[in-house]
Amino acid sequence: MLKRIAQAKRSYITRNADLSLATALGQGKPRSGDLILARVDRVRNHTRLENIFGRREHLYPGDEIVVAAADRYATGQFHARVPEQLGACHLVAAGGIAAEVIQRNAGVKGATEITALGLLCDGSGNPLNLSQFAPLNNLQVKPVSLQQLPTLLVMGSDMNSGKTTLACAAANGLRQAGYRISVTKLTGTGAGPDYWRMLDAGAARVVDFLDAGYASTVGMKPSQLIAILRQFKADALQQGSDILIVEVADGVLQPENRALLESDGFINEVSAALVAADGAIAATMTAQTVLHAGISVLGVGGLISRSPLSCDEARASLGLPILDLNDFHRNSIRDYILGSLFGAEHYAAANSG
Amino acid sequence: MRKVNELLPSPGEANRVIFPAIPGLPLWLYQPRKVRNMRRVLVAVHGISRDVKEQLDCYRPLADEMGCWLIVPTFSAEKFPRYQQLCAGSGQPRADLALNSFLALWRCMHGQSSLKILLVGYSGGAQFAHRYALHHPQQVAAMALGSAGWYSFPDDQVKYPRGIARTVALDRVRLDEMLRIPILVTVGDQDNLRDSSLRTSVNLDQQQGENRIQRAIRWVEAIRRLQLKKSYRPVELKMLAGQEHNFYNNMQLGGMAELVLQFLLESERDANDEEKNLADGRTDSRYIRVSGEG
Repeated sequence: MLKRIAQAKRSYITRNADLSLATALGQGKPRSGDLILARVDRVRNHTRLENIFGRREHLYPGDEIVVAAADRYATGQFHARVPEQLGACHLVAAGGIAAEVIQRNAGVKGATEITALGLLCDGSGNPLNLSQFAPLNNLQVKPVSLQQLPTLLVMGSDMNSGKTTLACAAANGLRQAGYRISVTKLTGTGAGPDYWRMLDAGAARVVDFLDAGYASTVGMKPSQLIAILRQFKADALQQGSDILIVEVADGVLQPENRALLESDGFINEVSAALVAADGAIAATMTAQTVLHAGISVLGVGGLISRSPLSCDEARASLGLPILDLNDFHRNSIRDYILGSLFGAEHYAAANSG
Repeated sequence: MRKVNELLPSPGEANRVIFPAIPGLPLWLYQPRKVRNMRRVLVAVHGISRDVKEQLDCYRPLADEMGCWLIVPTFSAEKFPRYQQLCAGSGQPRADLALNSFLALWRCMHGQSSLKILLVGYSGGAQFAHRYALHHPQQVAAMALGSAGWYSFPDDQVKYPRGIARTVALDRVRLDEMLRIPILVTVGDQDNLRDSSLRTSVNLDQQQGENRIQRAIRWVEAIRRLQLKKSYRPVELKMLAGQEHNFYNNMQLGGMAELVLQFLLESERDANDEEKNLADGRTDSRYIRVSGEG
């Protein structure tokens, strides 16, 4: 069994899992987070599977892959749910998510077809689940004030609005100003590109919901997401980070995000926000929604910053700074963001030498 | 979603409101007895005494006449020590962005995407107002400046805030767009004291004059010159007979309230006419670009 697993292509989402615990393939109804050995039947939309080192390995029919069952909510790709049973299903994310597609964006091909051959089970016959491999669950979580750890939210208008690019630009700029930054992804579906990109941006620490034991956060309640956020904070403090950047996947209208913005518990965990948007209307509505929820908006960036005309429109409708990637390397913008996060008095004192 | 609308006062009443997203900027909001114009709000900015109640009391009748909400922000000395210049320096809170956050929120609450403000300010409030308009002209429909102690002159060779050469703490100014805004400047004809509340220096005195009257005249001349070159509506200057530097007296005894009201009503009429002309496909206007220029 171990040999078979070792020969299978292991997906990114299993990066925390100890696959040596798997001694058998079990049958039964998969649950979210269960590890699955699957066979590739027909390569369609996802032609490659990202491994735990970030390399995207090409897929071929007949390949065996180790993936996890989970839901996916991605406006630009698939809406999919945990398979009802083993057997025919889909690879709905390159990070290694097995699910049954409910809907797909007309702009993408059908999902790569796979067969879930069995659940990876331990010596007792219990399915291995990602929740068992959650390093953040070992942390002692205590309340962390925003003074202790300023927390910058990155919220977007939609999928592919430039959230990760914006979060990484902020992380890189603030790191270059001498701060130690933890960059995190609170919601979404397990995927490596954002994780690696945040590391590349110079984050001292990157964690996501996978480190809290979740393959996907689709359908989670605000209280669950707040609990994960508090784990991120505990981790950031333990790592000696000065600032926590929290990216939230998808857009403000996504159901879990809406619920988060209606939750006082979440609002109180955030110092301020940056908004990513792909156009002026999206920027305006997203920033207004975040403000309406009770979170200060420091500025707008993302794809919109490519278009000077869209920036002018957003500037007129919002009057807030429109930030392009280079802005985070300007002292004035760093000062503005750091002063807003730490409070002008503390920031000035810390920088007075 | 938090019910921020529940924080709003009833018609004819005022509430002090702190919006959670803008905790550093408490605002007094007054709802006119009858709201007739939701595309505008009247924003009245206090001077360095930060007497917001005086602003509220004196501008309530104007809000009722205009049929639009009155907003009186409180730029506290702790949070916004140099709000008159928009910000005290790099890394310091931006008074202009705090106001813009409120306006973004207000637009969202009331579904008024094209909302612009009627901006009035006295003394330090007038300093804030014209500097705000220089940086965010697209937010301002009309502006009345009362007795500013000094000004940002439209001179890109002089460093902000005396001139408009770019400062690291703020974005570039948008002078041309600001020049298009209808502007009224008022000052008491006895407002010539060089007291402790008036900033003085050799450079400032040389550039702007020795008291508020001289400074208002010189700034108006500088702005008007540029406006006339571009055939924009020229700034108006009104001297308040027998008035010194006192907001309440200027408003109630010096006729400033009436002047500001008439100016704002006229600005609104012009704006409406312009919109109607645009809708009708006509381009005639009271201020016609001179052929061959620009």
